[in-house]
Amino acid sequence: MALKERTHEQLVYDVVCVGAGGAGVTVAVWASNSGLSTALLSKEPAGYGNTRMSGGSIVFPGISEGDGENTFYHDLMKGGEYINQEELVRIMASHGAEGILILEEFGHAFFRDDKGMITSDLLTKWGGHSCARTISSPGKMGSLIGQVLRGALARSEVDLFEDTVACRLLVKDNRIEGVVCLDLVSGKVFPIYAKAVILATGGLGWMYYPRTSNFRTVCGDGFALAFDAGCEMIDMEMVQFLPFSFTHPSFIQGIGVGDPMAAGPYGRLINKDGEVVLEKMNVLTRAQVAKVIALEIAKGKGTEHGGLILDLRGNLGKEDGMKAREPWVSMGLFDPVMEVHGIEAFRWEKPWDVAPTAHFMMGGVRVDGQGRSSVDGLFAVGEIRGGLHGANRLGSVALAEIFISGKSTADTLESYCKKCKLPEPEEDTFKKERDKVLSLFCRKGRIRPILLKKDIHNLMWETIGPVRDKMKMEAGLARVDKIESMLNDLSISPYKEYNLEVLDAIEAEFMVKTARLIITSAMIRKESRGAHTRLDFPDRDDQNWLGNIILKRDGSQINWHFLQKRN
Amino acid sequence: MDYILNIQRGIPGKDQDTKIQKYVVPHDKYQNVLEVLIHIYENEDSTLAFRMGCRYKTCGLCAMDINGTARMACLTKLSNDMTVKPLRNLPVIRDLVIDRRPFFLKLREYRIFIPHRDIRGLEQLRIPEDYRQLAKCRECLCCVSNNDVYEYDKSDFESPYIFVKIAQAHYDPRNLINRKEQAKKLGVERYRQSAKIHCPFGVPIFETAIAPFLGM
Repeated sequence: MALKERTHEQLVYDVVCVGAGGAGVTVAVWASNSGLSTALLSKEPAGYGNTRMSGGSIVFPGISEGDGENTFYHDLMKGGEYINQEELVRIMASHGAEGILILEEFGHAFFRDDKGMITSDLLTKWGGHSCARTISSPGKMGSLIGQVLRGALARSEVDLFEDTVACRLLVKDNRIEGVVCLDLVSGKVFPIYAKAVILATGGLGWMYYPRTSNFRTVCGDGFALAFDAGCEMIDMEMVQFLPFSFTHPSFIQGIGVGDPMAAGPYGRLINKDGEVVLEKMNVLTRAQVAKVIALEIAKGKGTEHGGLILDLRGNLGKEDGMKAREPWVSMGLFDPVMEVHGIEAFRWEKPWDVAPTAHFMMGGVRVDGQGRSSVDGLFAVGEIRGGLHGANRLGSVALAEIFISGKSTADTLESYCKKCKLPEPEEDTFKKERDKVLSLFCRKGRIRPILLKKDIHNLMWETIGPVRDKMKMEAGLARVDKIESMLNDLSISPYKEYNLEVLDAIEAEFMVKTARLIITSAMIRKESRGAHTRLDFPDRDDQNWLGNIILKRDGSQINWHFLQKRN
Repeated sequence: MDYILNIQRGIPGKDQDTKIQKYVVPHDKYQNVLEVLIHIYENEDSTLAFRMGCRYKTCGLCAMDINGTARMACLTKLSNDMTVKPLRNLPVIRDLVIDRRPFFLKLREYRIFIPHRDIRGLEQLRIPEDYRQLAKCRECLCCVSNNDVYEYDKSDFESPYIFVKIAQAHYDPRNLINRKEQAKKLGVERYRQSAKIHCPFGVPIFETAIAPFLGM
């Protein structure tokens, strides 16, 4: 089936999915396979985003000796410091291996042995996992996965809208009606009406640019869209910082260099005074290592490049040390080390600087096991859903999550769409939203939108980065308010075709809203747990904070309540 | 001393067509062309349209024509008086942004995908080395530009990108379509003399995606 011409007459579907990385493509393809008319929106070409730039590594549980549902369940809970949503963890623990099957059905092929199978010899053990459980893609990083997603879409009958931004969700009486879209290529604004809307917009790493490993488009759009629509948001303070990223040169700052396991058993972190800060990192979680680095830098013990020295030389000449290096080299993860710090660094003969980088969002839209949010007809899949990972995500679980959550939501959509009628949308609501977006083209104010985005990047790192305290966060909230007011004074050119200033303005507004959610939630949680480290509350406090912070919109206010877990 | 960077602006065939705009950029602060484009966008002129995604070497989106060759902006070292244009041979949306949507439609048209299967468990798969080589493709579309044969909207045969994608399917043990025949129909023969189709990511395009279909 050919793509529909973009006539922008009324577009009505059973399902419209926002975001075309791994989660979005999976839900769209499988909804379409089950006979539902399906539209898929993507800010970039489909199959890009963080999935394509991931390490291409995914869990394949249950293969290694001693691995099983219970082992995986306990690893996930322990890694997440016990505030994970148990229903989501159970699904991952029992269906984790299906992530690979879904992706291979799309046309991907993971590494195999001589007999053409995946055996435990091919798996690697990542930080926080109690056994070897991870397999890698034969492409460089996630490049093959990205290509395969485009193939799966081509195979399906999904109507694809590339270079298209979801600006607003249309909701009436807590029931979803559709999406207000901007076609970046033509500058046209149009609605898509649907029985069900699926958010698959990923995380928010780009809010911390350049201190992020994420793709440019990952600005936290979906969190703002969902919150405005009336969704409950869970644990929005839980932003994962990968412990190791480049500190310099500038073009590669923030790009990740691996999980704690990449340090091998004999890697060490050293501060500017030559003191060893941390050893045996390979058995620690990302949160544990990132926290130590961030605290040391906060004490003023960071290097001139704002990081710590990662010294991997202890691994050289030792069998278990060198074995730890292999998977990262074959993934291509150390290629940039060679290009930036030279062949000696690549061989682990020379230490280099590392610093934490914003990598993944554990918090997000509160959903049930099928991805239903608290708004009727609005679903969330992949990274934008919160709760599976609790306070910290283990490596290589995210790729499994996007495929498994995508498929399970698609399975639910079939019966959901049969039961419900198409919405009867009010044209006026759309027109109001359309005019708001169109008014962005040609603004004669004083501030270019990119400058506001840069303000947000800086405020995120400075006030809600890997270490937090009350005073900084209060200052952060005040800065958010100020930036929001500056959104009324924008200077934007009138170009209709691919106007990045308009995109910046839309993304800046999403970022302001999402920043407020993260800071608000982080101020509420008066303890340190997983990725959330507070200088003023340095210890974990199971008595008071073993549970989840839920945020919900009430008019223009943020309401919150706490879901206590039984200890 | 500052550097000059020349950038093609506008939409070909529209209004007063395109023009080359000169920008002065600090040369000691940055290393690659993408960084300088970001610098210009942030500090000087955010009416400039260009694509980027991962910032360094992974995604393939910042492909553009630099001094007459299709390259990745993130992998191209900065020097003085460079000229940057949209990828040659492709439809331009504005400035440096090309329209990538037609290439998705071609995947659909030529059925370049692996057929749907009812999978219950892991399939036994033997992955040839050529498949791994081709897996490195980032779909940057530089190969559409980096050859002397293909012309977008004029040629009655396909671009090297399509043959890379067809070759990926060809080497996949699950493929059911005769890809050799398909490649012949789509004009792979035209590349018989094109032994050097440069790929910024090191995919040996001629060896893995052209020669095998020509019985070479």
